[in-house]
Amino acid sequence: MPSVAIRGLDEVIEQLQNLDGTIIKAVAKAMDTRSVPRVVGKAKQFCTPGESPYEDMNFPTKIAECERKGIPYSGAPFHIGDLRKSITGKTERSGRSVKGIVGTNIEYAVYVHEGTTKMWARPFLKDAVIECMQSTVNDIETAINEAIQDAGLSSSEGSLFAGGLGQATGNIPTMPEDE
Amino acid sequence: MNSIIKTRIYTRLSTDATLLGLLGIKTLDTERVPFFDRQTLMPHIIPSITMTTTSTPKTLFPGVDAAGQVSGAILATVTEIPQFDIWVSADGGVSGDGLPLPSTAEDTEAIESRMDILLLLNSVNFIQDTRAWSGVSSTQAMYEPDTRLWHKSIRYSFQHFIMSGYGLV
Repeated sequence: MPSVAIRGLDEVIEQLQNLDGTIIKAVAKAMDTRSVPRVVGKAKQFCTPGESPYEDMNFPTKIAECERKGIPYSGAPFHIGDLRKSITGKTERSGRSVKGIVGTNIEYAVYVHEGTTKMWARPFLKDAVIECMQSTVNDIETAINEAIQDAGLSSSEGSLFAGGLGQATGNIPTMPEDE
Repeated sequence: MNSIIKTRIYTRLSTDATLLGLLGIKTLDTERVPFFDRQTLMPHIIPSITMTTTSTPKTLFPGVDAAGQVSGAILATVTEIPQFDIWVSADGGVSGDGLPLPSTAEDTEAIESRMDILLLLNSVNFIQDTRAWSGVSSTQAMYEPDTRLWHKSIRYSFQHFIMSGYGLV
């Protein structure tokens, strides 16, 4: 029966165990400083006249109100800016879980977000999350890679798995580069 | 949203006797189907479930054949996030089929629960050609005093593929 000898596996396992907390901390920091503020900013942008994707939406009551008050019509969910001002975000870390939360505490926000029989839904939070989805994934990926590099587990040739484990076992093929 | 997928979703909803019963329908009148795209602010049928599709992120990548080789085909992973609105009149009453019409916030919750079962929990038979269904959001039932309507808004997310030259796969 063939036998396989793995050198340095204990060291790699120990380093990985130590890395766990470091990675979670790095991801939480990335969420707090980059991802969550980006989603908040995008949601606020969607509530800004001239920058909102809902500008051309049919919104009869708002049109009538604007006409009565003699102010320009805007389909953006914006009147005096309370809703936009109320959008905030935070990052919650619980055990190995990191959660970014973006929301508003304005009572009427749900009606703006989901729509009623008098106005179309303008889901400024949901659309902001979708628009920032890829950049959030990138933030997390960057944070993990940086944490691995800081821990000294990354070789100059590539990531932990392409270099570190590959060297330890000596027979794990590296993944081809993305085109 | 892809029209084939949309038709299949509506078929799934309109062929479920339990859901129809919750809407006060025993026999579906094809002239007054209570599942439709929301084209106007006020739905023309109450009670009803309307669907609105908003942003649909699409990711393009090269297709691969059965052997895993990159082929010329382009695949698009389409993520759909449809919004379903449940509309119920607080006036209630009895339907033409002699069933009680939904009239409370709890009734909208019962309708939502049935939709969850039909769209999310049907692990044996998801809507054909779709995958990765999940619930995105669900509001509390919102009451509109002037129209006397209960309104509950639900969003789901799912994915399907489109392959160039092959249509929907």
